[in-house]
Amino acid sequence: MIELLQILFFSILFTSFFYLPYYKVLTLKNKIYLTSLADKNILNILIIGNFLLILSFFNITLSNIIKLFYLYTFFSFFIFWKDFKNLNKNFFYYLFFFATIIFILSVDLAYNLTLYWDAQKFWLIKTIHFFNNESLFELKNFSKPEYPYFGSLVWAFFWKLSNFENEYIGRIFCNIVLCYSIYSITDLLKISNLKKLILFLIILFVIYDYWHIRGSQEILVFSFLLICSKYLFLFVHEKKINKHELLIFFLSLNLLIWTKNEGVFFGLFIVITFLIYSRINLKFKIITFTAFLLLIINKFVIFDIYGLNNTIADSDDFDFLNLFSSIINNLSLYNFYFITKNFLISTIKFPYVILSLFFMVILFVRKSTKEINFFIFFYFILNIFFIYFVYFSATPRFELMVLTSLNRIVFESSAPFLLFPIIYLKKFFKI
Amino acid sequence: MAFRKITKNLFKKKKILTKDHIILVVLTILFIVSIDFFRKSYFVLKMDHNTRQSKIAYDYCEGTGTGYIFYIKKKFKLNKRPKIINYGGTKGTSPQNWIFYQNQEIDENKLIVLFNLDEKNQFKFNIKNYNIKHNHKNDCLYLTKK
Repeated sequence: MIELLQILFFSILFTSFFYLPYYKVLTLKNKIYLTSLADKNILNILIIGNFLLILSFFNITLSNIIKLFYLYTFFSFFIFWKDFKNLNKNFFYYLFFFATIIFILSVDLAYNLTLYWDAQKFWLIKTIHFFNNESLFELKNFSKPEYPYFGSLVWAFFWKLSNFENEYIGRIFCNIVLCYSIYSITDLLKISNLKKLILFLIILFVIYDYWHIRGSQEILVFSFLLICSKYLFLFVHEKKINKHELLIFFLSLNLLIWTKNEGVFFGLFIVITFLIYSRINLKFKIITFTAFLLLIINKFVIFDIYGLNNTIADSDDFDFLNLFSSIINNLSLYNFYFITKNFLISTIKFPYVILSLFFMVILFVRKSTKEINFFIFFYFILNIFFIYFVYFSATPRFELMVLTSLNRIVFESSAPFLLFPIIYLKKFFKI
Repeated sequence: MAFRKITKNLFKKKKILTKDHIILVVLTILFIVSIDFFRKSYFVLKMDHNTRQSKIAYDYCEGTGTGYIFYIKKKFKLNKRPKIINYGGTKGTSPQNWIFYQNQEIDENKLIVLFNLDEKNQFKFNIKNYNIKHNHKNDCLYLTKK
């Protein structure tokens, strides 16, 4: 009984955190231009995520990070208390709804508990390291030091914050970020709040599976990529660019870079798509691309300071010095067939990908692919090229690598495909 | 007539309950059912964390033996990590040291042997110097040094 009550308590508490006005720290004189609650929730998640990450760069222990977090929470609660006075009933309505959904998902998590191989071998070990207030300098002694550590850090953060004995409480964050990122994408439609919640539940229904919450980091990559996709859509399709939305876009890209190595590539595809298809001037494009490059360089610098391996892919599977010869060696009709077959099998495993591609086909058939919608097709093509490129450049264990990782890559990279049904709904239902 | 009036008020005039509210509630119920929320809540209520790990999350002594380690951890209240020798079951697994994440200190006097029997049902591990504290079909064993 106690454990179930604890799950309920932490589901409500963690969900509530992202309703506090943490985002106000980035704004002066209350000039923030964020109209929807979804934007505020997302910005809060990204601020807390980046807050953790930046403090970790200074080798601050998790216990001290938590103290600073309490301080930050206290100040945001205290200084912006006026916000709480002016809250309308919708605020509590949303909070109740999301806390309920998070609780349901958390019970599923507490029941299943299984950790994926990678989570047992790499991610949980790093999580325990952070949980025990160990130094970032020690991380180089762990297996796969070249892996980014944000997922483990945030897992340890919520675990320690709860003061709960078992690790799974830290994984509730994955459920929270998944829910808010899905809800955020429904915000693109001009429909009532209630209809957005209905759409959110339908999408969650199709996407959610415990498989995603097994401690591997794909769910975080998926969620951050989904957030990026929303703002990419606003920048390109709706031609709306304001500095706060751009800030969300970059904070999300940063977490993408720090979650998994392939996040750098997915982030790059999103940025390239943005640069090609948005109607912004050249100067702004250069600034945007430079900012993204700086985020990547920052990761390399931090990794270098702490003596962590500075590679963007698994050194056991890729040989960057002989990349070209690896591709030539792997280039065969059989390998092409093998990747394609498994790519299709992986796609079928995720119903929402099938549904999204179904909407893509409809958009094609009904000749609704205006130039403004090409950006998402462009990302789609880049993504497919990337998948073939990754496997053709893998050195040993080609087949094992395809069989064990392709479905995860398909899942994490497919978040922007959810824009296909959104475009469809906007186009044919004028919403 | 009165019922119609009430429902009319409910749906149109006061807008307490709209069609969208009903859809949302139905979808939430469907979601709860699809997650199997009540059965899972019951198990979370009934079983503690280690029992769920050994009975639900992982196999006991068939595929990886991870469930067996959780069982032993709970039964013998192990705080320190025993040595684990895994000869390999039907499924591959990563090193199982993470199970003792609360304390990674090794207790050299204690040993868990997984998948101890070969094809001829002979012991792979020589238990001569050990006391058997727990034995599951001679295949998964918890031993302490004599």
